Amino acid sequence: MTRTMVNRGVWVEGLLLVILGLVSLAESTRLVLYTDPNLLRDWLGPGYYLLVISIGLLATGIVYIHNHGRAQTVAREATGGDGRHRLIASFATCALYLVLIEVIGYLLATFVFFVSMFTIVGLRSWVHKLVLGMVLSGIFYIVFVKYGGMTFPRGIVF
Amino acid sequence: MRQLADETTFRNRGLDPAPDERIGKIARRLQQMDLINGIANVFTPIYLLYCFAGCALGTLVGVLPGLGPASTLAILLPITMHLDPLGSIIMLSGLTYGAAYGGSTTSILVNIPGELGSVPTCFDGFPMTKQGRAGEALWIAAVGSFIAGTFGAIMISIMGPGIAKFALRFGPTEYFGLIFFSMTALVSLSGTSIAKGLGAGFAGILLSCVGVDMMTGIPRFTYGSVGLMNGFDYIPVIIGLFGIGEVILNAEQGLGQIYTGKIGKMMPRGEELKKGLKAAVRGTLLGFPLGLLPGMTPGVVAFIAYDIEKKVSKYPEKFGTGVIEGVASVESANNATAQAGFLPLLVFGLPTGPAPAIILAALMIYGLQPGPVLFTVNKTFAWTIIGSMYIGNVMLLILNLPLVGLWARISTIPYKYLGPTVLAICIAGAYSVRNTMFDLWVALAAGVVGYLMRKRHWPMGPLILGFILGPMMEQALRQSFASGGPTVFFHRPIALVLLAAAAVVLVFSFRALKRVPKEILESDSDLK
Repeated sequence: MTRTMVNRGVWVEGLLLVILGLVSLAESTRLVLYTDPNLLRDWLGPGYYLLVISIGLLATGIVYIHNHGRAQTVAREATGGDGRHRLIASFATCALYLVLIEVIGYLLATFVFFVSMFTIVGLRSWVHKLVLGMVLSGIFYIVFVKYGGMTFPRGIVF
Repeated sequence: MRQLADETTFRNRGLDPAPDERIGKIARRLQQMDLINGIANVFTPIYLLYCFAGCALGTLVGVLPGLGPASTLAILLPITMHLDPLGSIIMLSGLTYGAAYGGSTTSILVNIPGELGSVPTCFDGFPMTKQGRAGEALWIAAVGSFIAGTFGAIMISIMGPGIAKFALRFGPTEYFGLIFFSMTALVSLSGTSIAKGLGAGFAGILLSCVGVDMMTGIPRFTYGSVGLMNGFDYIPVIIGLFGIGEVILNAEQGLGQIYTGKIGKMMPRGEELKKGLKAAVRGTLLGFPLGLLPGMTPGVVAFIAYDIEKKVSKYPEKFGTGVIEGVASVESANNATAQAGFLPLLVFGLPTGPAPAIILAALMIYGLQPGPVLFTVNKTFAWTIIGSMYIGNVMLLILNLPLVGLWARISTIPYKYLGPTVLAICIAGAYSVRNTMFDLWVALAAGVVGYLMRKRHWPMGPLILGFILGPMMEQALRQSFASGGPTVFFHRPIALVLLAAAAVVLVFSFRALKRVPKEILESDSDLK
């Protein structure tokens, strides 16, 4: 699929760089104004280095929009409906996993994560999903929590 | 030590140098005996087992994306407390340099770096796989790693202390020059658009500035958040950008199996073999001295090695399309660096990166203070560890060359099984460093960024380079200014030469990039 809309993406990317540059410019200005480098025997202090990077980022964003922002016909990568669903579902499952770790603990959350992810990536048999989910979450729990000594938030079961 | 002091006294008094030479010869013979004793100790079955376990674990850790040597060392540390101290350190050391070997396998086969030092291996290793030359890439990676590892062990035994002393003469000004020189890689890693590379690089530097400023204690970009006060750790960011981003992209594309091709013939022949071996030697010679410098981790040196290899090549435009030198130089450089890190650690007690820092912690837990004293009071201990490096490198060559198929088979597991497992390992790996949920959210956010960068053809190399080198560059610059003011660089010739070299390299890179076809740069940046 070809379109002349690609410059919109470039504008978004360039503007993100500019916004990031402006945010860091504000932060570096705050740091430059509110610290006393002579007192700390630190010529540059925590702000001047950031100031230079911020200006660099700002300038790069502007140059990027200037160089690439004009309309041009470029092939766009089409993502099928299934692909988009898998993408959104994968990120959502990861986010849910992180939330569940804090709520129901690592073991159960990992089991739910595995079953969900197996479903998303195309494993059809529920028996396989449940058995693999149980086995893998058990292995992960033993390796990382029992032997690895990783202290995940305590859930309702483990 | 006493003998060395006497030797200096003789020299200063202008006395007959003959006794010095005799003392020197005796000292060298004693050193050789120590090394032989050290190697002999490793042949004790239990230490051989520890060495093998470390090497095998290291290879596994290198193969598995998301789990780096530092995080695995951290996970293993509590377990090793119950083991024999010498055996534990042999195992932890084997794991550290073993990860540098194994990291190449998934980089080459599936474009997922097992650890940071193998990120640039993807640039040419994966295109080689797509061309059906996976076997050659894996062979040169393993042999290059062996050359570098063995060279590293020899250097530690013979010339190491002298080189370490020279590296210690580097002040912050020289470090700044060196890091600034490394930063010129931003241009050559940019792909089609230098603006994209610079933007990503600057964003990486900004990302590294989040948290409490180490020199003044003033918070930056924290906005009252406790999590942000500690800054972003390397591992969650890298795991997110590379591991999570890649797995989710594959899930979107409905990938059935992440590596379906054949490994192909292993040993490259003729001109390819010569080119690969020469690049491995260049990578080793670059990686070892850089590895002696604090902060020069295998990840950083791998980027420098790739960049330099590209610059010295007669066909830089082909880099990123499956050039054997791109794999050989990176793999040998990151191994040489991983090995070199043991020298300042053992001789001076100076860790050069996160993995040696964890080994230092382990040594201190056992009540062993690394430093010159270790070589006198615990001579057997020190030389057995050095001896284990020789044996470990041979073990790793066996593990990675004839058994490469075994490791590669991990990558041939259908994606529907492997994808969720890798994702879960990535999440556990991101959590393992500091045991905070904040790091998990950082990894997930980095995963989203990594996915978007891949989709929009933004190079990730500069982002990571800026993120890793940014804090070092800032610290070195501020310390330089604190010690000599803004004109400090004019009084330090080494630093001045490095800065001038950076300027020359920048001009050279801009010119070289103009000669590279756009399509090649486009595909190049996708891999980075």
